[in-house]
Amino acid sequence: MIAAFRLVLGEPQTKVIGGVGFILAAALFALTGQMVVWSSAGPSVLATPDRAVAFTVLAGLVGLDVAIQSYALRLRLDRPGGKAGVGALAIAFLGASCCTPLLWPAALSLLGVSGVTLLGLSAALHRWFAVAAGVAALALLGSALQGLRALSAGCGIRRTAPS
Amino acid sequence: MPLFFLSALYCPFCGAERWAIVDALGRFGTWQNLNPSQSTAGVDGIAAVPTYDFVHAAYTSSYVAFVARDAADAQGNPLQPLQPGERDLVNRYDREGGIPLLVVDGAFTQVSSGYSPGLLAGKSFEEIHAGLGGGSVAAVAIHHEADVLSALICYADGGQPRDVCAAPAVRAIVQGIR
Repeated sequence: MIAAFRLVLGEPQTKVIGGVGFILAAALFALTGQMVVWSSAGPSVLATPDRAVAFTVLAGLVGLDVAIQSYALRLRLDRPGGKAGVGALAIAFLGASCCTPLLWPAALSLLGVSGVTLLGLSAALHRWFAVAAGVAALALLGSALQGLRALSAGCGIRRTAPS
Repeated sequence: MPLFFLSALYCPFCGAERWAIVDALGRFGTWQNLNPSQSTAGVDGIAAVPTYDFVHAAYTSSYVAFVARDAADAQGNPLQPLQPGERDLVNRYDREGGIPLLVVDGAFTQVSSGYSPGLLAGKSFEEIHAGLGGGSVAAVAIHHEADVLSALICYADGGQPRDVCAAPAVRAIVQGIR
């Protein structure tokens, strides 16, 4: 798995994709988490240490996951008949990154859940921020590790016995 | 002119917005039983934000029909149930259930506070109240948000009362509304 990790991050293109993913995720978390409040008087920043650390870790995991999954996706597409399973990869990534607990209200709203129902959910998410952030981090970590594991198997990287 | 405000007692962003609402609505009417309160410390990683208690306050005005609802108490338990018309407002204008929610005359809405509660966190109620006459960052933010609310009310209410709506800061914001 470590060899697969080196393989992924050894590519400049993958590093750029991961970096862009990190920046976009950090911006998204800062806005949806109300760390940056935009008003007519301009932006005001509220960066408490625990939220700053949580959002940075989560954005870092999103960047890592994006890098690994995009690499896996490219490998898959390069193979004959590789389009099979691409949808599953995409859904797995979206499930782990885009629909994290922090973004549940937005996602559920899109699915048609009413504002009054989400009001209660929002209250719970705010009160249980540490738990929600932990769940999101575990989901992202799980997705990244699963991607690495798939890459290890797909690339035929095997630990060989010393001769 | 109806003005609906949805918040919760634990919420620091709601606490920040109440300062501006008290300031703005004080220009259009009279507050009674307005007592200090505070948001719950640690929510959203923010220290307790001193604010006003709207649950026991009353407001009378010839211009603004103000309705405030606190959906949850300081522990997050349900507090004031929403009436059917209020539920419609939330479902229509606040589809993600965010608080605080402000709806001015069914025409203007705002979700979240107009400025950061970080400007008030860690200070005492008396300290913030005493500083409103000065030029601190918190005082400027509160007054600016109050000017924005006043401008929206003035715009919706046809510029009444004139002494409030003719204030330069309010008039400038009204002119920017399209």
